[in-house]
Amino acid sequence: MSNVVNLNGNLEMRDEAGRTVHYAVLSADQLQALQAECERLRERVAVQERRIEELGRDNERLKEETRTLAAERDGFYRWYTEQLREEFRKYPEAVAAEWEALIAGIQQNGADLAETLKELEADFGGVSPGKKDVL
Amino acid sequence: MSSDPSPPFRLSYPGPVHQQLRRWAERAASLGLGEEFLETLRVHVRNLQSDPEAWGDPISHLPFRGSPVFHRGHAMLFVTYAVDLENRVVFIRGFRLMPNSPLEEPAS
Repeated sequence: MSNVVNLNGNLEMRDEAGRTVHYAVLSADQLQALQAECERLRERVAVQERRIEELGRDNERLKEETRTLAAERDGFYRWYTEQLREEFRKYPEAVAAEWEALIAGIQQNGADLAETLKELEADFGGVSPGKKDVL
Repeated sequence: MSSDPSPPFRLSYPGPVHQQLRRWAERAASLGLGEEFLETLRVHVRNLQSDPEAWGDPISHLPFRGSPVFHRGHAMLFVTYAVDLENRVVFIRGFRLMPNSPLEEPAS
């Protein structure tokens, strides 16, 4: 490295291959301030990295909770389905009579669920039902 | 847009269920879950109206009518119902909340 090319706040030197190399010329105070700023940025990065790790752990925990909840619901659903089938198997006449009475009651004093939905939307909803795809 | 010319099934249910649905809707609204509850009901209604046999899991048949009985859980609610295919009526026995539902009424 040789040949000082420019020395006006910055130092530029030209190496043997003819490339210009730039050096910043800093006072001791400026260097200290720069080091302090670097340290501050390093700390910020470390804080962000810890936060990212925490969020990653939270994400995993929530996924696990969701899986557990879904498994519980599936388990309950299977159990409940089996209970309903069991009612029909064990007490066919009683269950059939219960259904017939229920249907007779509905035919006399039943309500229409689609109308009820409209009523509930008017009273409790703020959103139009729209047309969504079947799940 | 569906090109199915069949009219929707009529969804009939016993009167007391009406009050229960209202109580749940009120409670859901008070908990900030009103829209979630209504959407649950909308999905049940849409599917029961259009194709109740496909929507539910088969349970059995009613011996006198031959009507199939189904139940189905979706989001916040289970529903149990029988289908009168000839007259295109769904007879809903009732709804039930999912376990640990926030809509469960507090024990008094």
